[in-house]
Amino acid sequence: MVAVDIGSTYTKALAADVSSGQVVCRAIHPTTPDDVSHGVAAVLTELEASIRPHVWRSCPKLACSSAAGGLRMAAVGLVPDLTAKAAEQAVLGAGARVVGCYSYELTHDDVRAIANANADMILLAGGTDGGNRRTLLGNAQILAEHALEIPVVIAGNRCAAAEAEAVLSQSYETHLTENVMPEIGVLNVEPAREQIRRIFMETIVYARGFEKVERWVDRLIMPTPAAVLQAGMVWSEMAGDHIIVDLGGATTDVHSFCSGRPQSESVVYRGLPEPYAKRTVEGDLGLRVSAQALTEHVGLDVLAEEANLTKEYLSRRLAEIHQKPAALSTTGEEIRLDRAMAVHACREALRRHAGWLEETYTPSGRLWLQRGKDLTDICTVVFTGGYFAHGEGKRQDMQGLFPSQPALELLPRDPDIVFDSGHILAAAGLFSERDRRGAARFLKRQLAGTST
Amino acid sequence: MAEYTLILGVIGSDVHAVGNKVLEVALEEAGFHVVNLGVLVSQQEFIEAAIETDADAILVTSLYGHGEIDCRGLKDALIEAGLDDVLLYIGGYLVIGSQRWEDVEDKFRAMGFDRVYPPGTMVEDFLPQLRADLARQRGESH
Repeated sequence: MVAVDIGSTYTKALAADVSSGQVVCRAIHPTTPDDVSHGVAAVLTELEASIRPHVWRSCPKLACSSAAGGLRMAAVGLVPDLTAKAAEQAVLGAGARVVGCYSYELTHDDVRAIANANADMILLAGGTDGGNRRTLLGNAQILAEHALEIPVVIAGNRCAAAEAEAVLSQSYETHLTENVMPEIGVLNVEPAREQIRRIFMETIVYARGFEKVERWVDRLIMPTPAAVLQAGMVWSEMAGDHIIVDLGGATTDVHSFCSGRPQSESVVYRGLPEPYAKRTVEGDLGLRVSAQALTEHVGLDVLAEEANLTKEYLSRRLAEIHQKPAALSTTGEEIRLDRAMAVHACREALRRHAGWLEETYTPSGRLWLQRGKDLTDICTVVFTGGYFAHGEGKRQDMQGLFPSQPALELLPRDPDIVFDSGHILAAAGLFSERDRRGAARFLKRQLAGTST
Repeated sequence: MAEYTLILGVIGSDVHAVGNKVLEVALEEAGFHVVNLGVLVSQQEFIEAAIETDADAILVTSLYGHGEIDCRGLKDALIEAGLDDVLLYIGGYLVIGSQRWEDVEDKFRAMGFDRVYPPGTMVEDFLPQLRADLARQRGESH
């Protein structure tokens, strides 16, 4: 099978024999932003040269894309910690980038901000089933007045959803699906996620002019982060609970695959339940486009000291990275800086993803309140992204991210570290759409033997 | 779907779970849609749940004597959230020591609670009042 990953900088392709789990050949070409199909044609032509014609003709060719900012979505809900958060989770789980998350009543300025952020789609939630109707209907009304010509997925109060659709259907392509939070404390993001992915495949790809890609591949299936999430699901069926950290130039994504429920009777869970497959995206943590934001977070002094660089060099290098985000690091100084930034980006992204404990005293003794997921029992953490694919990932750096003692932050304790050195996760996610068992074999073969 | 939605929960750092569960079952059997937030519920959680579910009443219980501190400002917060017409009930061991029940009731009424119930109140004791209050509230808001 062939997988093509159209990134914002590079278009990468690999051909794999899923029966043996081996990579047959790879190709890479700069992404051609005006018409991404040129880049796709270039990598596929290169692959074709190494594969026997009858095999090439019959093998499925699938693609995912994060070019042009990936899938951009606005999430709308009612209460920030309830339906708005559930809507955001559904959007992230579909592999989209959240360009705005809105609570309570939308204002005209909010809708203009959604338009200015070039959102591809809106997820409109709000109210439990049988609960609040006014906000969903009011927000549908405000959106209708603007007619943004993008699809709207309605995943709010079941009892008001059809009415909201009627309001919107004059000016929008609408899709009705199940409520992201049918009851207080019940999260139901799967149907909305599936709906978003279907619309991406059937509508957004064409709206972007990406349909030309389909002259070369069978299907542009999903946004790249969704492919990584899919690979994680396949891996979890085989290897159990785990985490994937995807360190990129602009963002650092963390995907966890576990229930994350409290593990002791003295711990009480608070807040919205978490999905088994949870994705968080940190837009201020990355090695290239977000290098400046990361440095501000860590502190220039700290980063310079850790990378053994002068502050003057560091400032100059950051300006260089800003100018040419696609250039690879070659000198010793550049590589040391990447290493220090990678450690900080992964550490902070993991901390934000993990749940935490708060102490509370009751007349019957001390109790702990848990918010978010408990990741302490996770045994495997997979690191992926260009940095790790270039073989720069140092095992001891990544081991150092995890505590060996119990702590209030519920991070994994001494997990095995796995590097996706072949950068195969997105490809495995694509393969699983056609052959789940084959994709599992491929993942096992490619990731096995790299753990501690 | 049931006609009325009730939010139920034990406020503050209170972990008394049994009475809460008994109330949930009894109120569901009486035909209400009960959203039970369980124990250790903060004011904010009551308010957020009432917004999303468009609740008709909030039933707070407190069994460890700190009810006065935990409930301070709850009614004001409900008004701020646009939930001034949601009925607010409380019941349980609301204060420490042997204070006169009438004084306790006055205190909680002054804090904005529509009904205040002493320890040992049975569901059938307050159901008629709850139904009457809900019917009146709906009549007024229409």
